[in-house]
Amino acid sequence: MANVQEIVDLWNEEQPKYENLGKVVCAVIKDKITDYELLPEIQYRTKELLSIIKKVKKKQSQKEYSYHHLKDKLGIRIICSFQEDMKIIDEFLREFFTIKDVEYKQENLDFDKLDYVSNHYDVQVNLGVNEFKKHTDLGDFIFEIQVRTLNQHAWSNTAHSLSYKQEKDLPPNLKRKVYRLLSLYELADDEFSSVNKALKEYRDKHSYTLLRKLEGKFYKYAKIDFDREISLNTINIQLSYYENETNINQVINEIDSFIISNEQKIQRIYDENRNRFYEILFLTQPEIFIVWYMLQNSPFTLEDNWTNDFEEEDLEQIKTLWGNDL
Amino acid sequence: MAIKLDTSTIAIENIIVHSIPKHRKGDFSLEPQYSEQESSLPDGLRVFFKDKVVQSLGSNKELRVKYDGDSVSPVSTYINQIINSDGSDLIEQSKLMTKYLFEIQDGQNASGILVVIFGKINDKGTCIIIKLERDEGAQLELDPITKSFNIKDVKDLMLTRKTKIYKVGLFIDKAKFKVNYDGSTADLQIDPKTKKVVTTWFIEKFLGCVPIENPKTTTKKFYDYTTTFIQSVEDPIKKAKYTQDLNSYLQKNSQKISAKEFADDYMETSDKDSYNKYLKEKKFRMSEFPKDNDYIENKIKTITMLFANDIAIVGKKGTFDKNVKLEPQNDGTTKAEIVSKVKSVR
Repeated sequence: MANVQEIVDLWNEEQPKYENLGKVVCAVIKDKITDYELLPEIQYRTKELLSIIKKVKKKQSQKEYSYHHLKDKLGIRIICSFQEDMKIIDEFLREFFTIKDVEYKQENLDFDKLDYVSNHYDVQVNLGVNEFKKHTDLGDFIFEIQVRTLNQHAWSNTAHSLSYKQEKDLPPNLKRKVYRLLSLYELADDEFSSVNKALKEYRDKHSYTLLRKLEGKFYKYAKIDFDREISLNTINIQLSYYENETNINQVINEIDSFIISNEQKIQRIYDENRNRFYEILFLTQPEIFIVWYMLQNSPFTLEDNWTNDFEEEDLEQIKTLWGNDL
Repeated sequence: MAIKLDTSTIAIENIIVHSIPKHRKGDFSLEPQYSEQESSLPDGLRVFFKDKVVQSLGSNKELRVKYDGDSVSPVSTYINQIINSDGSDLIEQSKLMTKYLFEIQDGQNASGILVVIFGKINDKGTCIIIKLERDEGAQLELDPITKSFNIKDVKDLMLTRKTKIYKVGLFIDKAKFKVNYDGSTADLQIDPKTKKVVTTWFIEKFLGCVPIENPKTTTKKFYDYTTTFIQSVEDPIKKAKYTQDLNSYLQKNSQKISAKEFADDYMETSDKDSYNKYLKEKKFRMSEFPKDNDYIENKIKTITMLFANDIAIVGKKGTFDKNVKLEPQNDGTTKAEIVSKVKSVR
């Protein structure tokens, strides 16, 4: 049986290390996941001592199990908006971590199981990755990363509060209610995904199309969220400066390649100015890419119209960040 | 292939400030106040000075220059020494620069502050010189302990407008960039006295530089490219207007001109962008250059408008638009009306 005092001593010694590991790993995920043009919510926790003791005891009653078998002493949770984001996060995790074990729980779930769960990964940090190279002391720790959508997260939390554990113990009428509820979460995720895909291709509203093209890129460089209402309003104004539809379509078609071809420059601007975002609010909104695009391609259209809607100083500031070729 | 000098990549590494008092020519009873050490530069001030340099060199006043072999100014030697030493000779060489500036200044020149910077542009060494002219009341105090000026005081002077608008020069090792110019300058001071000379005192006398291209050649290129662009404008009335505008612009009483100014003063917005794009393709810059009409004098004296029916109207500069009334017709033709006495027929 579990030697409780031994677990207490071990955890007292290891907990600060796992805590540090959690901080380091979360910081790296937060910083690097934006390169994949996503901005998910990231949380971590180290397991409570009592949970560890209870879990070891419980497992020991079923098989040979000790404190050292526990893989979730540190748990990291990545909560994303859409199901399709989970695939991208899977790619990210495979690059930055050594995957010891993975469970794509949804894939293995029978249709009549009462659950809607996330992907679980048992991992170690990949010391070959630049961001972890200096943390050689963290290389041996195994910990768990859970990836889930907002709906999976909501379901999980709700189910936890309802305290249902074993579906076999539930009376049929209650079981049916839980099935119905669960299907709503699954359906919601599917529907969110299909709406998301459709909106990405929706081209009737130019400002919306453009914003969808820019937001991932913005996360990549700015690594923060932005105000969508301000963005849509500003983009609408910016596009109104163009005299015809052809020019607007040109912006929409060329903005991606413009950002990619100026990647280093944009990265440098963000890195140099990250600590003074408050002075240059345009840097905290994705429409700054359109201003830079216009400065490069239609500077007169931009400058002749700008002061009707915005402060002249703002444009000066943006131009200064972008610089010019001597 | 030439490497671009992108001002957004400027990184300021070392900075030093010297102060030059106002003095009469040949009066050496006063002396410059030299810093014996570089000034310390917190990140916030580093950004401030970078922004100021980028803004000046991003203005329409920016001019590519080369060192003038005939100039007596030794400043190019000091600049090269700073760049070649990777900034380690900044203190000594900047003092020599200041001494030279002091020697060539006379009572006409205001008190000045010389800020010399070693830094990087596109990861390669650059020397940036900023000359500020200040009011007599705006004094800088040399710290007796560090033997340097507090760079924050310089920033404050620039912000409180006690300092007149400044002049900037950015220099590089042109071999490393594979370009044919030594640097770029921007003289933002508008001085009615210097309007009459082709380049300014700062660029010519102090830095010992001249514009990269002969002003006669640049002016001719500007005229030729702009004329070709105007010819591509479909609307004949607009074409005639722009042609007259170009002639007027070139004959304005101004020693410096720019494609940007021409576009801003005379063109419709959509044409401005097409013009900008066209000049970019031709590698002709939008910023200011010294004007010299020598090669185009004859071309800008008259305007000829040739119609599809082989009738031509020839007019003199500045009078064409007053004497010829053009009116677009519904069938795409243009009606020209001239009311005058017939002087001669040839």
